[in-house]
Amino acid sequence: MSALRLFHKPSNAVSGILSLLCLAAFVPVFLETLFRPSASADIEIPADTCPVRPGPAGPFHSAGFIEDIESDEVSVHSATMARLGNGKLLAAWFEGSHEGAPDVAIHAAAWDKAAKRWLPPMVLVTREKAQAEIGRFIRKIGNPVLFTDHRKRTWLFFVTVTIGGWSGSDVNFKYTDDSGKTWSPAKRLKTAPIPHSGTLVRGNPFEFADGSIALPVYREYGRFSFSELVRINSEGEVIGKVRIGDSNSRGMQPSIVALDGKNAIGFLRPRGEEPMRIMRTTTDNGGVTWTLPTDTELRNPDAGVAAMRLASGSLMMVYNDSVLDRNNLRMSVSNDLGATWRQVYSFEDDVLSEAGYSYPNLYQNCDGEVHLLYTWRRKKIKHIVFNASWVNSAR
Amino acid sequence: MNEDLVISVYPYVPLMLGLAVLASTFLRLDRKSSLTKLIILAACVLIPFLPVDDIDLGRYYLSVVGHVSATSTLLLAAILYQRIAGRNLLAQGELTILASIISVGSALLYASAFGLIGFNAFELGFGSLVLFSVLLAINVLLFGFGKYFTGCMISLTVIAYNVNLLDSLNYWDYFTDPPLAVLSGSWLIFSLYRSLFRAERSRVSA
Repeated sequence: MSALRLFHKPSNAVSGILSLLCLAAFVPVFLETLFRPSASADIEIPADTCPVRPGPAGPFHSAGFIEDIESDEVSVHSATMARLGNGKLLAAWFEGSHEGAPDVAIHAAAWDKAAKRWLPPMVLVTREKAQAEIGRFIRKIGNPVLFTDHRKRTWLFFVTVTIGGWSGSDVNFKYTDDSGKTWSPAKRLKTAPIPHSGTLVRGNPFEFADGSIALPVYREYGRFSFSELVRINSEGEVIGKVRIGDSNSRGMQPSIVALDGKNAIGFLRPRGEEPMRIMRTTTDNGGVTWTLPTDTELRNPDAGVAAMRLASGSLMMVYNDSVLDRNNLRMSVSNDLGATWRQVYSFEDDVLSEAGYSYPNLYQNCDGEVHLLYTWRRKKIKHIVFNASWVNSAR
Repeated sequence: MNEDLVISVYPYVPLMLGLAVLASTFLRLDRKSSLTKLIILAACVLIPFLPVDDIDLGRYYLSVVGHVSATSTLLLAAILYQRIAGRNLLAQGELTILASIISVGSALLYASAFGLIGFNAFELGFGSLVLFSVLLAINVLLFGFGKYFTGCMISLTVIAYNVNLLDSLNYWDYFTDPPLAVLSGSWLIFSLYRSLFRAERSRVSA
């Protein structure tokens, strides 16, 4: 029987069999849907912030650079960190002749805690290597984000662009199961039904109780931007995505603080919209829905922010306290889950700096040490270590 | 066959089919000898693997379009069959129905993807009971009204989703893609214009 007859003039028996076979295709998907766990999973305290043991009682604070070499030929930006499976802290950032240049690569360095210094940096991802591994043309590389899950698998999420500017970004990942000795080939994360969907990463991920990863992302189309939370299974497959806020919500680069149970708070960078304040959003159902972002009292010049919860339960925020430029970098603390803030310290204050200080990233280790990384005049990545006692004494 | 191999090779298939459709249209394959047909089709299979820089031509194409849905692949296969065998699998009426289903689904999906509407259509693609119930209902109606090709197309996209052919857990990736959405919408507008034009012409001639 020809295919023509099969589709145009099938006999009753043939059409019956055809119909049954085609409808049977739906059986596996219905079975899988019915037996799948609920979409609302508990938010857990991030896996790479192990239960904090009390560190040195007295306040301490130290500052330095990951690589103390300054060159006009090199621009660095967007640092991130996570604890590797072996307990060492790993930092990553992008570095090249300028942001968006084809020679930009993702560099990484491990923190030698005993010697209190960073080990020599290595190159984790180059444009050429990413292109070969992902099997797609890549024009440039952008923001990296590190995260270690409960299985001690460390993930590196990073942004690539094939066509156009950051509005055509895609998110990719690779991971290591041996604390950075070897890395899996890079793979693209399908976060949207359109190619080059303008999806970028910046904020730290966290883990759900079922082991899936919540990756905060943002979509950038020129001045129009909004934030989303992408859910990824342990194999790096996207299994869900929600908008943070609603279709009218703006704000990008969500920095999410997982609290407990189903509660979390997100802080968003305003995207050039008055009154230029950091925005706050919350969820009480495991990130399934988020409240409409509302302005906090904290000023922001359209620059990245970093929020974290201290062992005491207070929230800490590092941000540029200005509506105009990135010439300062300050820290504020909140004791009421971000409703009100009190400024406690200024890491940088330099009205003459053109490149400024930006993109803070926070990490608290098991000894209660808080590590802060940020872009220092686009020339270096600055590293500051302190503890809660120092924060209290700085107030 | 190895699952990874299928996932890595399958994305080339729509490009091969697309090249074959172009070749069959412009070179009139139906009038060529079997040997010529074979040589041209073999070339269409090999062209996507031509190395350009450090990735091949097929990967460059995929770099731009992202992915090609199972629906597009099936449509390309149907068009190629028509070009080579001279038999049309898809009647005009069925094409309009298929274009309508794709257009409605795509409009919802892409409006949601760009954040223009609050409704999260993309999330439904992750095995939502609602989406697959709607698809099943549409399929029952299609088979009930004898639209077998369209019904089979939808079922095949569901099968492709079940076997994770596109390395994606979201059904929408199997159902539609941006070029298909644009073509479906254009087809619908064209069909509507043609119907109106014909109605107007018969009114005038009457």
